[in-house]
Amino acid sequence: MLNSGLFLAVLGAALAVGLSGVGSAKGVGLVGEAGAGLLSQEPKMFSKVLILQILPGTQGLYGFIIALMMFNKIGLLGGSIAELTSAQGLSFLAASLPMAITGFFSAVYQGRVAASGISLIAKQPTQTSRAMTLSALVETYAVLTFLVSLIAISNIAL
Amino acid sequence: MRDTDYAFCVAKIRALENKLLSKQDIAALIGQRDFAAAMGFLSEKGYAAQDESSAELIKRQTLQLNAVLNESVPDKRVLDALYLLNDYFNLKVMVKCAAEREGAEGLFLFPTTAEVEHFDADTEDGSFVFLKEQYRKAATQAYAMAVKSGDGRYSDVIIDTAAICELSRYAKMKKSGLLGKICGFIADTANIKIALRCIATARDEDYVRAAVGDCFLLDKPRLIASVLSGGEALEAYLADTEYKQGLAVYKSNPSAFEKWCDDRVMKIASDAVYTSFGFDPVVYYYYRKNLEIKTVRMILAAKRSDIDTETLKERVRELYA
Repeated sequence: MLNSGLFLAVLGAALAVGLSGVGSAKGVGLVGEAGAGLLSQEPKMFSKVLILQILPGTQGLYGFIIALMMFNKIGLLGGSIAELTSAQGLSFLAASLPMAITGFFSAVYQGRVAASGISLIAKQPTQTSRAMTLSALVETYAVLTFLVSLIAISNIAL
Repeated sequence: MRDTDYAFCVAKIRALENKLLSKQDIAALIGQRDFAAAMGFLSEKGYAAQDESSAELIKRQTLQLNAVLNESVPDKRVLDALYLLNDYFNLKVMVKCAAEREGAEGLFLFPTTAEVEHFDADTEDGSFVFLKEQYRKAATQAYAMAVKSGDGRYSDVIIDTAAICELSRYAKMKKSGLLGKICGFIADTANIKIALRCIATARDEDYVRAAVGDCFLLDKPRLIASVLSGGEALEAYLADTEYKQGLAVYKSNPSAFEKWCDDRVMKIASDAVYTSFGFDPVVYYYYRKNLEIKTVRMILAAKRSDIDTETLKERVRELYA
């Protein structure tokens, strides 16, 4: 049976992986559309397009890692499932929120920057590294929140 | 639609912008010694196909532009506004051909939403039932005038005014968008040209009121009043508007006014150069490509007529100057 503490912890994991995943899907999808537009005229630019398209996908990965960390900690991956109090469950939920919220928005905005980068390299193919740098800067905030969520989960006492 | 729905379209267009003829290409084209050399240069650049005539070249480039837009733009309805001028030109053709019972083959401009394929000069009775409402209204009025007066110029005025009103209506509806601003500019400058012509030919009040269409940034009642008061009043009125420079250009050389209008349209459109999403980059590319086609056509026509290089350079728009 799922008690309220466990439910809140699983909800946190679901939000971390779900929202980050949706954000990444939107970001990667947007860059993919822009990339297809460029490739319709310049097929040889596939590798450059691919690098830019990958960038907004990392948030989904961070969210996945956070969810795995939580599952591991509460014993959902194997062994015995921890009996969580509501306070502990809420702590897991709170720890997952930085990753869930920032993961979603940073992936969407990173997708926009990367798609704009596609337009940039369409006009000036030599500017690929700059397009990547601009897009990678948005990643900073996803990395910061990933670390915060990671540290918070690691330090929840069971 | 969301601006990100244009991601594919904008990236494709940015890639295509690299394939437009550059300022250096146009300078080199102008510098060719004759028509054959100019066509040879365009073939070398991949702009013209082997053994293609200049008319075929212009037609192919225009069709390619429209194919690109139709393939890439997610909501095709937004393209209708780009084709407004072609539509109203085609209405004039239909009205004239219907009134004179002459075929219209080869006279229509494309692309168009005016459904010219349904037009048959032999059976058209002036009701133009196949046209959409706003086109039908202008066409039936113009047809009645053409039949009554026997003079196509009066029917042209009706359609020109309807076109200006439609451009102005679109501009007011989409005033924040790039195409809205361009439509508004075209409507206002068309009204200024009508106003100047009315003064030059001393038209009466009824004609002026019928010919001047709705305005975007100009004040229609003030414009009409100034036309009726004469050239100085019009000049005084326009001096307070952003069309002041255009009037100065017109006064120095009326034919340079068209060049000024094209240059201003490109200046407005160039706002989209730094835009990554939305319809505005499409508008920029459309006007940029059309200007390229227009410039190539003008240079080729000049080469065929042995017009000297210096005269050609004066006529070339600011973008290529």
